[in-house]
Amino acid sequence: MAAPLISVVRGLALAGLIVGAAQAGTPPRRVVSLNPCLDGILLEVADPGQITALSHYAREPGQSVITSAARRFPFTWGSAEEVVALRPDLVLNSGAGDIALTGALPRLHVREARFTVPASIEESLAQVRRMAVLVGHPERGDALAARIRAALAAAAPRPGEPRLGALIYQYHGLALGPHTLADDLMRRTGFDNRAARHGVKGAGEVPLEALIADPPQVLLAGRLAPDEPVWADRVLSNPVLGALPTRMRRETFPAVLMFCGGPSLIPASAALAEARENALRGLSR
Amino acid sequence: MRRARGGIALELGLLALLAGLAALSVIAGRVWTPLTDLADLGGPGDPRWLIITQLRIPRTLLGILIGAALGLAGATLQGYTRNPLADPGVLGVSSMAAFAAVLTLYFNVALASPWVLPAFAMTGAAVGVVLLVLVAAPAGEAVSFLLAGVILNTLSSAGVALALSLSPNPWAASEIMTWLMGSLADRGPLDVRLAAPFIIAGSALLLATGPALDALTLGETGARALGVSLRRTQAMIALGVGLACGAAVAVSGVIGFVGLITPHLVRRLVGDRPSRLLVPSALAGACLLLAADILVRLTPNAGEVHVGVAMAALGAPVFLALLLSMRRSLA
Repeated sequence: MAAPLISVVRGLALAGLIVGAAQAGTPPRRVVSLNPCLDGILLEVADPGQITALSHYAREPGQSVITSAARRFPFTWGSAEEVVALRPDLVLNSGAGDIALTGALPRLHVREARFTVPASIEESLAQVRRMAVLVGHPERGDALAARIRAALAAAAPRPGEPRLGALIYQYHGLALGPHTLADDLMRRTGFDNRAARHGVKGAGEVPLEALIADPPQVLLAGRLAPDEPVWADRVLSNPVLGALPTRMRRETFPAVLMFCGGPSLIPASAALAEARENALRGLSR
Repeated sequence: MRRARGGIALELGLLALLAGLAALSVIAGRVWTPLTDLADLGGPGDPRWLIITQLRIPRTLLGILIGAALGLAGATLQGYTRNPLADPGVLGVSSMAAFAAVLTLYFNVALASPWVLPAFAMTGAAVGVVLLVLVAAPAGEAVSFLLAGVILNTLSSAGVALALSLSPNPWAASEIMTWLMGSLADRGPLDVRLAAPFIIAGSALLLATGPALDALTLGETGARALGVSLRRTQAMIALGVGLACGAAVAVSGVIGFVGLITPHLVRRLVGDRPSRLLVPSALAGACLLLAADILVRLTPNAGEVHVGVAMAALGAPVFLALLLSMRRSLA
């Protein structure tokens, strides 16, 4: 008699009828994250015991800044059946990428929190706080947000320092324009993003011709690993760029720091500040 | 008479194979659910129950329906065009469906409701069928039909490429790419309900073209002399392929090669008569896609390979083997 009763109770719980109580009071105990950027925030705001699985992307060296931390936890390959089998009481999903998976989760009675791709620093900080509240540790969200703000303040240009016109140039000439996290980050670290001048909204390509006609002072070329060649190198090794009358500095802004908001904003702002200082030194020489 | 009996034996064999694959398909995946577990499933709340009813069974049914639709459409088109390289893609209806689906991803409305993307895809397929018939109909000949297909294909692939290159951010582009590759992963009962009626109706139309296809082996003039209406045949094929493959693309994305290879595999067993090829091709197409879909689920140590990609990878060597054996038999 008892066994069927337990299974019914368990059934109801998984069907979301009892999960309501968890939403109101007790923090989730089995959190599954499906997105490497959400993994990064989760690692900072949740207890290790609450994390049931992270995404497989977070484990890939060169693709994430949290590889070693992420490898301590189980992971999924991002299929709905893996998620259900883990019996999560909270699934963190970005809603981007695989629309079949995102469509399947509601059907499987999984409690899901969906986070969009943040388009500004403030949006990312709001996500950090939201996730911290979701896992029952709001104070950690506030603390992480404060650390990010402090890092941004430390990376801001000193009074009197000139701002530099800059462009992010990665992969096939992909630049990040207005309404992106990178744009906000550039503005706060003393760069004026030139992407909008080239008609880039969100993310878009800047052709070499446009670069030659209107070169920025700094070109922030991203790469995954220090020695990994990227397409941008081929474009940028074009002799015409060397022959430009205006000097253009090339600085590295590791691509892996451009992917996410949250805690990775801390190394990202430091990297941009370093790029700015290098560029200022180089341009004044 | 003997051949007919041979045909029935083949069909029964394929049905048995399909049943076996379907059972395996319910069991196999990242989360192994052996049938012995089915007895002690803990009711609707048990994760395995959810996996089986909400993911595995829909996926299995879609594999069967879509594989059958593609195999049948391939056999019909190869018979109709008398060209062994024809496949459901040549009419451009599938790519019109894909283009319409990509538009919902591009404008970010696909997640508003689960039926938005399939509904758009089917509308795209319908527009494709109408254009196809309008452009090709007056002649009623296979060549003008195929040329109209080339036009539709070119137009829709340009549209897809444009959507990819104009996509507002890398995530939207990757969403489009992921969808285009063709997969049955994480589909649900709604997808089955959406696709099944159209696939069944389209397949019925295609099956009905059997006699006309046999007559067409004598050439278009010969078929006309036998009283076959070329325009009617063409319209049935356009509508049948449009319904069956449009619905298939709507729920799975683009899956190639099944329609191209299946008739070749079956032809070696039942001979060249096009009408005899239809039912076995549908069954064999279902077996092929289901088997491929089971294999991709077991991809070791990586995310699941999309079944559309796997079909193309497996299809090329199979096709090469067929080509070599054909050459030997001709020599």
